[in-house]
Amino acid sequence: MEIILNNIDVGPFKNLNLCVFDNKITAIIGSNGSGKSILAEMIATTRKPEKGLYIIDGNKIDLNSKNVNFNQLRFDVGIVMQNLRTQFFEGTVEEHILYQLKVYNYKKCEKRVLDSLKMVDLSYEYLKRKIKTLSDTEIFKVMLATVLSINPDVIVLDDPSCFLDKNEIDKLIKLLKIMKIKYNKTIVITSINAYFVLKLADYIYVIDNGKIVMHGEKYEVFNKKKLKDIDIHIPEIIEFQNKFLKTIKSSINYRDNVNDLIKDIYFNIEKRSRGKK
Amino acid sequence: MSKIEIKKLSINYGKNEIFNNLSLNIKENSYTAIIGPSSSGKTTLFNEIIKKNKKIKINGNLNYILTDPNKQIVAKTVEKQLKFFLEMEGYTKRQINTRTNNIVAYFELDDILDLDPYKLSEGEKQLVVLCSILVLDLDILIMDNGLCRMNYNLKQKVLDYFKKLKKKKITIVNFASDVGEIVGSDYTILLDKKIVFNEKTKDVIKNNKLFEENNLELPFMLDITNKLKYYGLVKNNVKNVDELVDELWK
Repeated sequence: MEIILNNIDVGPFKNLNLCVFDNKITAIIGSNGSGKSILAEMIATTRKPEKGLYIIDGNKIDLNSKNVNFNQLRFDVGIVMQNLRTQFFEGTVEEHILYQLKVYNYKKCEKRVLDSLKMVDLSYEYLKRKIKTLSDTEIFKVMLATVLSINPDVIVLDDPSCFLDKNEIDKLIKLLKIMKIKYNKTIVITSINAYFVLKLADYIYVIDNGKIVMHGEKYEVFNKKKLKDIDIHIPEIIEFQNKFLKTIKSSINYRDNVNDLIKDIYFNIEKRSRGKK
Repeated sequence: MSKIEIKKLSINYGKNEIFNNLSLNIKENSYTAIIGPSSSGKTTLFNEIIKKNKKIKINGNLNYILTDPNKQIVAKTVEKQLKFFLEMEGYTKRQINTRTNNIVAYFELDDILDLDPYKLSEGEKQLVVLCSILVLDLDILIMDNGLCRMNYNLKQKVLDYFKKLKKKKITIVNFASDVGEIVGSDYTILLDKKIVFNEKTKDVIKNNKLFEENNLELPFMLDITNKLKYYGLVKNNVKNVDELVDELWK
């Protein structure tokens, strides 16, 4: 599903144009307070614009008009927000997910609950756990399971990497990539974690002070020096590769993990020392 | 002397056992980073410390930072938040002004001073709450993933500030999900329902095996230098990307 924000005014943003491409993973990055969460909520249609239109798969929608079918929109786009604990009522994991499903009149709810827990790698023992006894990571997973159980076309995650350790981040990356490739989902993430974005995203929007300052394919964006001026951390692995390419003028491919990179370096250095002999 | 002494702490949630006879000492005037996978008991241990469980002895004055900054916002503007705890603890007007001005200058908070903290982003809220504590005369500061919403550059700035604080004899304990936060710390503890290791950070970062065995990720620069050293491609220690490329291309 393709979502276009057309000439929208919201919060600090004026005349904002942004496209979430169908079946791609779009990342929104920016320093603290730049407006990432506002954009995430906008894309998820949970926040109304002051002005402007949505174009969803070619259909123009004005969220401020009276005949918008919000229920349909909630079907289409699911969001996991930052303030995890405020999105819950007291009760068990099972009750929480079932509640959401019943709101949308789903059938075979029990199976959907089990399937969604499986997807986020939580065992069935969690069904009867009280939400308030869960850790932040577990709450995030329950929120994600809740969104997945509704099976929306677009999944929006507002800064999901914050509570997660490396292992959990890797699992999330894998899950989201499967969602994209196997189930044709469109995915939007906001993040301050440059490595997470580097490993996951296809397309990146960089925002600063209520403006989109650049956008493009991920390697294209991370290669812009201007990022430093707006306080965005360029992953060191990219900086290193740029410097390496510039100094050594050899052909390494851009890599997003150290082990692949080491092989490239080793090969290059070997070749060079053979040349010397 | 130990600032925090934990002796044989056992905690369970129903059948779910978190700790069984956990013991740990936090040394005076040190920065200790406590890392651990999800559901390893980080928040549980943090909560037991601030609740002052009977098995935990605290030798000094404790200030803490929670993960959710919303729980620690107490004032209607950022400026009032920064002054709130100082005023509560009876600092003089002059002290209050100097300390607030210093922290505002260091973290460049000028632009947001008049704003309502609740209207800030989550990362900015974390910074403001942290600053409102940092202005106090601290003895022990303990944090539960209190930097998690901050971007990389800001986090580095905070970690640099901690280095300055150490000169003032402050004990810092940081429960962190980001392994990057061990940079600059004296001790690194890996917690996974027990103490897996408790070592000097300078030894920990040289030891790739320790990280791999425990499924942790070293920060990029440390990771790549260690690996290149293993292959004999780099001999000396390097600090940044530029030095590393030079070292490789000698």
